[in-house]
Amino acid sequence: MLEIEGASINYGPVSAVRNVSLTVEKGEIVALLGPNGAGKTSLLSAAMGLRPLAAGSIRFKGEDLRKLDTETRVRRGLTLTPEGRKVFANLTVLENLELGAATRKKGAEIHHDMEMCFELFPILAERRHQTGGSLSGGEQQMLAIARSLMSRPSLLMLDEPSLGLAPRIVQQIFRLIRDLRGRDLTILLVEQNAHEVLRFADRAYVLSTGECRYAGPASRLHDKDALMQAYIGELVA
Amino acid sequence: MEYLIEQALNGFSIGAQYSLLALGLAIVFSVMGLVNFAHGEFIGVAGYAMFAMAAMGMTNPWLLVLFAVVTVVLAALVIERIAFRSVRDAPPTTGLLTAFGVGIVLQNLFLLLVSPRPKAVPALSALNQTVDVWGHNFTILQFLEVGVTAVAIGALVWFLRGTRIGLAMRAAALDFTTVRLMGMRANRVIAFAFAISGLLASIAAIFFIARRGAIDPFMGLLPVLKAFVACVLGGFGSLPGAVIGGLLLGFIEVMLIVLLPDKLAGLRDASVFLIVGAILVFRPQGILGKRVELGDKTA
Repeated sequence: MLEIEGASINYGPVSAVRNVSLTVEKGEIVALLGPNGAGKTSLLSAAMGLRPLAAGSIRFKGEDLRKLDTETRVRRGLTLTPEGRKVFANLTVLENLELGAATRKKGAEIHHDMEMCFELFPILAERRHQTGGSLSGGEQQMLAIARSLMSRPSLLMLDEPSLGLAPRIVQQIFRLIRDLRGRDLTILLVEQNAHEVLRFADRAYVLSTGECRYAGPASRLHDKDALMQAYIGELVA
Repeated sequence: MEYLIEQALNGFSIGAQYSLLALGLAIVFSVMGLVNFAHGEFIGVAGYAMFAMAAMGMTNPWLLVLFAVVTVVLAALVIERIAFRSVRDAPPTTGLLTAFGVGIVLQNLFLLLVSPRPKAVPALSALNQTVDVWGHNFTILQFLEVGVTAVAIGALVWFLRGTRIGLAMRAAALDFTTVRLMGMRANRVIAFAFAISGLLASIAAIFFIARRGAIDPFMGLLPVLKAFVACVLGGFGSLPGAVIGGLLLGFIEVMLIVLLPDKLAGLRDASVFLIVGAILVFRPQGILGKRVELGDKTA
């Protein structure tokens, strides 16, 4: 569904990502792991067209994305729940969801999807008239995910959904991400919380200082040593 | 007492004009971080559009007003497209200089195509007739200024709360990148911001021209400065702040007209800015200004 090949991303003279290839197949949950500053967020930004690629290609459902702007990529079914949630703090929960459906026209379907979001996240239904800024961190993360779902994406990219949340809330968010797979949704998940994510991801990539250190089944990283080695260096096996 | 009531309405009606202009500045600023100093030239565009149509024999004041409004909105859209879109991602100073450039080009177009001297636009002068309301003397124009401004602000509030593009404009004030991640087209949001700022400016322009009865190439300079001051006073980037700042500025001006002796009339604008400066010493962020409205700007 998503094919990134040989991607390199630069910030001025600084190279953030070098020659990284990554694919996501329909129906998968793919984890993109790695320490801070590894280039995970840069890679997602490039997939959304917020960052230019210095080299390499990105295809989505077979279509070359490089010529399409961010707004058009959303219309093609790609969506990103950004790092730090980026809920519109001055808008109500309902207004946030309404903007999430910005690419869609049919009012009845949008309304139906909002009700679906409220079923998934009952707390949002209670808070529907509150502003995004008045929600707790966990509620904001739920709102950010619900807002992404409102565009009816086929691939949902989540950037650090557990960032800054209490462990109990993190469990709740991860459970929800697992449930979303059953809804005909493909997920690319960026996380620092590697152990948790590897339990339910199908495949994993480990990025470190801009380079791909591991690509393969998530199960192979269940072993602590293997994960450690993927993070910090070559396998000595 | 009678004098006081008349002057109070006067303050309201002048303040209403500043509010309309300040709102236009604030809307464009909140969406794209640009202080559009060419905003004052929208008044000139409205004036010369009316002048040109009147010279071609159109006498119906309603049609002249309609023509002026449509011309200014179109001009705002064209200016955004050819001047500001190409520098959208440039540093803020580039946008500011572009705005000054657009202003100078427009002023000189008026000057070269029409005349450097003031021209009479008497079509709306009938609005300056006084009417007697419970023993007070008011002009029709004063009522129109207050009434139309109130309707325009009401319509704007509805637009920002009730339409998707309005929601996007409010969201873009905090975080434009995330608005784009929703699939909302940046070009459309910004074009709407310019169209609205042009629409509000054209309404202010019509009142301005009706009061003066004349136009000149540099007529937009002082009003845009006043609108800028109104924005600073209310809190830059805040839309309610722009309205309150504009009204307050109008009241301060009228108050000084009343209080300052004729000998000191030349110091009126200086005194206005002195008072504004004093207010800002106590509230540097403006009356409704919040740090969040200026911060976190990513696009």
